Amino acid sequence: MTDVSVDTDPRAAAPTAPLIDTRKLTRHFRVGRGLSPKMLHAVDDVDITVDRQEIVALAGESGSGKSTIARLLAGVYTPTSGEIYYQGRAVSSMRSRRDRLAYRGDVPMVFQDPFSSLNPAFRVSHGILRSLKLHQPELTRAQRNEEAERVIEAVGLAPASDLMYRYPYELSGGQRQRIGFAQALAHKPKLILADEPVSMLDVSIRIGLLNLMAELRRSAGVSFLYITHDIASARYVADRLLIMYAGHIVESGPTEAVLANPKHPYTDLLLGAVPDPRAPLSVAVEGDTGEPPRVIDPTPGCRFRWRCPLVVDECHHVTPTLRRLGEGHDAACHVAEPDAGTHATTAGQRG
Amino acid sequence: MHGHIEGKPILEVRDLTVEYDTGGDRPVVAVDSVDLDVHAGEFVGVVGESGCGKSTLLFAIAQLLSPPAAITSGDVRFQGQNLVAMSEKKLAALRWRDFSVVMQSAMNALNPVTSIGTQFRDAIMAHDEAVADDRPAEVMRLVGIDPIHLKSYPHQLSGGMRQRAMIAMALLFTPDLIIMDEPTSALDVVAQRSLMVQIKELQQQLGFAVVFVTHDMSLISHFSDQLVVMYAGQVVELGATRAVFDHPAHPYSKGLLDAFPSIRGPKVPLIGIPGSPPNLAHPPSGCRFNPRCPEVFADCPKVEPELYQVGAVQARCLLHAPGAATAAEPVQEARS
Repeated sequence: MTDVSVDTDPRAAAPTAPLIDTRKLTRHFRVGRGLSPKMLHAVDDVDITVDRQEIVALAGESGSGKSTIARLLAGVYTPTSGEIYYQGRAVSSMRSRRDRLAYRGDVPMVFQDPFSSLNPAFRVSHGILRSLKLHQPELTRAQRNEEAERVIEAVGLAPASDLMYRYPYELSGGQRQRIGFAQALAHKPKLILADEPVSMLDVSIRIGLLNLMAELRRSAGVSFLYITHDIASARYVADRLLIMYAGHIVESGPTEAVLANPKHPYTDLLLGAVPDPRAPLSVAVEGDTGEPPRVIDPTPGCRFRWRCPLVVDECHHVTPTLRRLGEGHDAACHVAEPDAGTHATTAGQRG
Repeated sequence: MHGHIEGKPILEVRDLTVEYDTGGDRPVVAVDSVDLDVHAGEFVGVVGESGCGKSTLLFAIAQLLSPPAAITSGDVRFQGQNLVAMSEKKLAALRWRDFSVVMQSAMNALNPVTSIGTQFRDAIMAHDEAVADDRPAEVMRLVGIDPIHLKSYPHQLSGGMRQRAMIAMALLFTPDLIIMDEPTSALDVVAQRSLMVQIKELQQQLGFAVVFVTHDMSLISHFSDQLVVMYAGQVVELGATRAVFDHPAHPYSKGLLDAFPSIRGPKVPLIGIPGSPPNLAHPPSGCRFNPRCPEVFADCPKVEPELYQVGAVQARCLLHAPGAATAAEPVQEARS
């Protein structure tokens, strides 16, 4: 792998504001037609922070809103309400084409399915070269090719001079997904939104891509928002873990703290379901139906209450918000107990 | 060789070979001389990477292959009858009634334009068997779906419910064998776990045997009795699930086991299995795993290994060949 030097953009020199920061980020979708329009609350009041060179994992079941968050951050969807701040600047205030292009170059996305995210009619370098042309029009054709070779080598594909002229069908799933990362890397990004980048791949090659993310963080100085439903892989690469359920972040904190001491009953359920041949079969999930929650026109109250073993009266009327329950560790649950010595406060009061 | 369950196996696969005719000079051998025994009530897991031939093996057992794939040698004996030589008409009578198949993607396996109940009735009407009118409702209850959903269309059900409906359909005639091709791969962990627990409970309750194909070895660690590890069309390791997990004899099985991180215990850097599976049109000479094997030695690219007995399991690895200088310690596991 060639070493990609850490970007020395002057904007990065003022590390006061977090790299990306969302405030009350909300996205609703209209479902149903005509006289009975309903609103599907995909993402509700989400506050997420990602710092420089940080890997943050966002975990939750299908339909919990993880991918919607990635698409909101990538600018594919516009928020229903709330705001995304990029290096302290509101993304909605970036109106000029130049600003928006710069933002999209800094925050690219890697998609889940490497089999459908590459155009089968073009060589794999096509996407990389095209985006270089768009984002860095000053480069000559030779420089673009050189740059494409550099990023393809940076993601561990060698020899790049040969691989970049192949078609997607000539590459394996793992290699295609590395091309996906190379495309993201061509923009000299600050934050890569990786939406389940390994879940379509074989177990035996997943670890190589997780290692690649850690390597790119070190060598290219990028941050990752790693979206997954696999907690074990989140533990392997991520510094912080966010657990999402039905459009809400229900728990967040340092990965090890969340896994060792889960505060939210949903986190408990998720941890119990992870298959682990090294451990005896847990019975935590027995009796759970594993059905996704109702988020169409939800009423106030905790969205996990129908599945929760600890449900109390309050859960049916009051939507819980994130509370500080440990060192950097928050959970949105009425029942969760704080760590000894930590005063439970509303997490929103943090810096 | 499967000493722990008495009696004759209900499914005996012998020397089964499936080739894809690609029009080139050499056909692609996707399943290469596979032997497999399944006893009544047994849960057999088949694991391997994509392209190792595991799904082709299942399709060959169920006689569902279509050109360019074809069985070129071997037998599939199910309850004493050879399915390979059987006419389509006789096979149609056996399918659903005596063995059934649950496909990987329930979204594609169910007909989107008819209700679940209609599809159940189709399966029933294809057989002469008298089936009680309330049988569809009964099997839906067995898999934990409200029978009201017999009136539902596939798109009205969640992914987990669709997979359960597929399993309910497979149970209509209470078959002796259910073949499952990654039925949980489209589900998230919580739904996946609850479906696995349910399959196991139904199996204990109704006594059918299961052949379960997956690429995720950890998923079946607590559910299967026998484990078959496939690589490049061949069985490379075979044995009681616990024995394979505790003492994997083949470097590939070891690699698969070490390929995923754990949520407990110390955090260790992992490397997975470097490289990718071989092109089956031109498999490597000697041991097919040798270009990726961390324990490769001089003989590996030259000698084709057979399945050798290694303690309680069998492994296709020259490390365990009789008289091999580097033979590993025999596994002292008693079979449960």
